[in-house]
Amino acid sequence: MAESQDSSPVVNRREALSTIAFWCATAGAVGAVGLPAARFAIGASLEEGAHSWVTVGPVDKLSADDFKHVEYHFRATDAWREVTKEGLLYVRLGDGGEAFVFSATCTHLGCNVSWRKDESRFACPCHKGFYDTNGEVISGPPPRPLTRLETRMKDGVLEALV
Amino acid sequence: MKTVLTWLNDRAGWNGPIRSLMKYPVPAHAHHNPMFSMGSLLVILFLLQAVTGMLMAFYYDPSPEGAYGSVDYIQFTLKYGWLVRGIHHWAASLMIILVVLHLLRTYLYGAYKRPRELTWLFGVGLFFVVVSFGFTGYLLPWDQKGYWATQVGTEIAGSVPLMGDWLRSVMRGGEEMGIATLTRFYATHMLVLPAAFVMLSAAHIALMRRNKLAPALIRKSDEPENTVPFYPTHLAIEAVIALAVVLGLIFAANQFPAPLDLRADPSDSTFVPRPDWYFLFYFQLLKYFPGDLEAVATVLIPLFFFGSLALLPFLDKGAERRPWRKPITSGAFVVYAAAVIILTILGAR
Amino acid sequence: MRKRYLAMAAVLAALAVAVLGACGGDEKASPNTLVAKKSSPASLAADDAAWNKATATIIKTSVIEGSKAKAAVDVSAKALYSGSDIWFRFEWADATETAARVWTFDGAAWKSGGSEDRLALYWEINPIDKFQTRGCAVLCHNPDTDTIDKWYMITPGVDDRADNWHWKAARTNPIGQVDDKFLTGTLTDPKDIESANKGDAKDAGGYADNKAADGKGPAKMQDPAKQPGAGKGNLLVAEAVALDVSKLKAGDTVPRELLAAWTGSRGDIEAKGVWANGKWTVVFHRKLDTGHEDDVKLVTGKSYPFGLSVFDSAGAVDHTISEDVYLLKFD
Repeated sequence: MAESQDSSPVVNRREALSTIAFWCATAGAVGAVGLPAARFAIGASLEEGAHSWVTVGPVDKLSADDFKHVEYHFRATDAWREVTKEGLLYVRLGDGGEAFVFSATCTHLGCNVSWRKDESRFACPCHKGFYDTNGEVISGPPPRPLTRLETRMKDGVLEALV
Repeated sequence: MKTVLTWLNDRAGWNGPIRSLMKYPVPAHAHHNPMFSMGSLLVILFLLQAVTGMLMAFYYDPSPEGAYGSVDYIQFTLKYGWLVRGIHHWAASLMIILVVLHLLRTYLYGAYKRPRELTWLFGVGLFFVVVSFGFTGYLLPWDQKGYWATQVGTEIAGSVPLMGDWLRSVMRGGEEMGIATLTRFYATHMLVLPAAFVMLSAAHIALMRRNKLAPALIRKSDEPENTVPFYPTHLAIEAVIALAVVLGLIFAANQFPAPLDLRADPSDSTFVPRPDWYFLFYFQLLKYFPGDLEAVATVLIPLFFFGSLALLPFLDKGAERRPWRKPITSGAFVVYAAAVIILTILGAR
Repeated sequence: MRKRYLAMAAVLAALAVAVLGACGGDEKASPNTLVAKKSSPASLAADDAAWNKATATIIKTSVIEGSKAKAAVDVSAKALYSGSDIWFRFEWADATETAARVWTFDGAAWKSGGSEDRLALYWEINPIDKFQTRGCAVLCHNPDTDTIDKWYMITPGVDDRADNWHWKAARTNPIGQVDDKFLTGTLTDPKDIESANKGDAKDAGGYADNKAADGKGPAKMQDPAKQPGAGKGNLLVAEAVALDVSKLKAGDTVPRELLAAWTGSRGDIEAKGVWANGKWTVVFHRKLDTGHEDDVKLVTGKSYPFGLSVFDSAGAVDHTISEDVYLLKFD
């Protein structure tokens, strides 16, 4: 094998092998660390969040035209810690006696809405979205109605799934 | 002293490279115009942020439970904590202002044209990095302001079609805001973004030096411009400006202490979330795109904005650089600036 | 040449306007904020000139459903501070001045009666869950299953502490103080629903019951040789002598408590309250940092949530409360 072929148009075989070896080894090293690294960075992000049944309250204290403001909390695991998850929901009695429980999270960009009794509507302080007593959007940027939560009765007390 | 320097030069051989760095000829039109010092000021501000940030990291606790207490401790109990945090707070806002001024100066001077397109592209990247610094840093005290601004900011990411949910979950480290949100924002703010800033700046400055500053817009004659050496002549002016800025930041930290809102409360419905001032224009803009049009404001407009910035050197290829001879780019500047200013004022009300 | 500088100047001006516009928005104080002004009054007089510089915040209080509080009351509040001290000025409407907790003599026997007007505030000493958004509502133990007579005050966490400033028209105002107490997280006596609320540590002083051994009347009365040092109708411990019925006639009253100023943490807050023309005006004064662990430490620059209640000639649960939380801020 000739050693000195530096100016010939034919690629020097040793250089070619070295180049391939360099790139393969580098790609291998980068991939060996990089792929698990990317998976690591994502971690449990794509898993579903913590859900739980929380106490809303006794049904006899609810009314049909006024929403009750309920702050809930439950214990859950967040990454490496057990934490108390908190949130807000609103509840009222429907015409048929069933409970309407709405998550207070605005469907636009996630702020907590407040119930305005004198105006009979929910108002979001962030971008002026408004919802009616059925959670439907009256005006503003929210794209969907307020999320209605699943409910159940447990020992005479109303619970909602958050 | 001379013996030490000779010894060092003999070992490191750095006299040559340092000399060429320091003796770089700065054109007169740049030397006399403070608008040409924005870049250096940004480097100095970054160093200031790095130092104050590192100092705060000695005490900051990046967990939802401990973050607020640690920032409260820094601000109100630690000796000179108000100064370190105050400088960090005001320098952050100043960096945003200067990055915009620097961008505008380059834009209006047409200094993004051949052969400086690559410098401009790295600059757009740096702009994005600086704004990201603001966004990630805002959450760290885990107070009402930071928590809700991030809740909204990540929801905006969530409204991107197709990848929205994935993006939001990865940004939050989960479905909801929690422990993993704070740690990844902290890691990004402290490690990823500074590394990106250093690498992009190094490339940006190297390219700027290689291609030299764009010639003055108006030239009295065809003779080559007068120049002054970077060190000590031009640096003297920049050092004085830097000193004024540092003193100004110390004054600001003292007279207007960095704010700390109440602790974050995810179940609170009384707090009115607002982003930091440099996002107010966007906050206002979002109000105009109801329901299905949401994606226009959260995807199309930002894409258009950054896209048009990045593509600028390839859209405006002509040799003409004087702004009064370029109605389209000058007109676009007026429209963008007016829109941002008006939206900011409306958003602040 | 000029065009370049004009363009730059225009850009700078525009940015300045944008930033200033942005800053202006943040600084507007919400209606629930009490902003303390940096200025020191010369005395506890409610009409001290320094108070003209402070902005008044209206603290709205409402009646607790089921209590016997008469009506909702709005309290106009102002605050001033110096490098080391803080003053509060509260003003609210009250048709009658009630500041007499007395034994009344009918010629033969005694009857206990009378009441007093009061004002009370709660602050967090350590961060209390939800206090910053809901105020003293989180300090009230009032489950749906209990009737109002079983409600009591207690902090939600066993290790929480809340600072209670309780001004009493009959028992603390005459000696120029506010009763400085603190709320804990356990009922030290399960049968006493007020046992979570404790008085701050004291060196000496405080009011004491004026009760005879049989509990049917007072034990002491004002020394007739001395003018009442705390004003007519107030009996100081130092001026009390043994009861001598021969000096009294039907209709006379003797205070149910003997008063003495506290020294030590319990006496941290001095006060001067005056009732005139259907209004109470009360000024409090305390060190920003008392150095005591049973007090809220106030640091200028931070914000402090607090709740307030008004008692109109009443006690226990019969008070109005501020339903929203209020924030003390420093200018």
